[in-house]
Amino acid sequence: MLLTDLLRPNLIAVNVHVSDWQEAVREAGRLLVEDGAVEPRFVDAMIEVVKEFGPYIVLAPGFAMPHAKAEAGCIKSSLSLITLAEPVEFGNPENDPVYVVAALAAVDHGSHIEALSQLADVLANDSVVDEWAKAKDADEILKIVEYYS
Amino acid sequence: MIKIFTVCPQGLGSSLIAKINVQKALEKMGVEGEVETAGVTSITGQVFDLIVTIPEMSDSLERYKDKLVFVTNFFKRDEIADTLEKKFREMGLIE
Repeated sequence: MLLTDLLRPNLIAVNVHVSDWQEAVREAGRLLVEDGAVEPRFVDAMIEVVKEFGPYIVLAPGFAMPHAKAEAGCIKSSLSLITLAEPVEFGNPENDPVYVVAALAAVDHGSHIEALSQLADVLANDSVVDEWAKAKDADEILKIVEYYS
Repeated sequence: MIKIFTVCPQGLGSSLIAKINVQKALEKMGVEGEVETAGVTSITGQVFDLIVTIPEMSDSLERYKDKLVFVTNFFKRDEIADTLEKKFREMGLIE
């Protein structure tokens, strides 16, 4: 399973307006729900994880990857990605503020590893988060993925 | 052979990214190792040499404090490699 199998064009939105981190997670989650990739309760679960364990999902400067367990209502492995019109604080001292949010839904522990490995390759380039933030549409986001893969 | 666990609260998102980058760091250093992911609860009872995790986990993993290595950015391969190299020297695994 490749990154582009998870990150499908309908799961990408650019320049999304949100007022705080919870709304950012909800917007990224909404794309997964509309796609049929997760049940609505999965979105609540992603928010609960941050409330319980803290803002560790801000994995790199400007980049958050909310996720929840498969049992929380994951239907098919998917990744949604939104860029924010205005950055939000998650409360992570190292990596705030966040302007790209990618919500991960995985049906198990194994099948998405190749795709995540590819995501790690892409994000190993420091400029990628900035480039995504400036992208004008889903097509540009995917072109950046392709370029660094 | 060194056994490393990457640990995050759930063991499926962040720890998987960390695992991928720890594996790359080991390859680069030429250290033979096995890397697995675990959630904060599933680490109990496992046998390992090192845990790579995030600062937020330090309280939950306090009982393993001698074996913890913290990273703040899971995508920074160079930072992960530097941190591991320092730890391996401390442990006498590399010269």
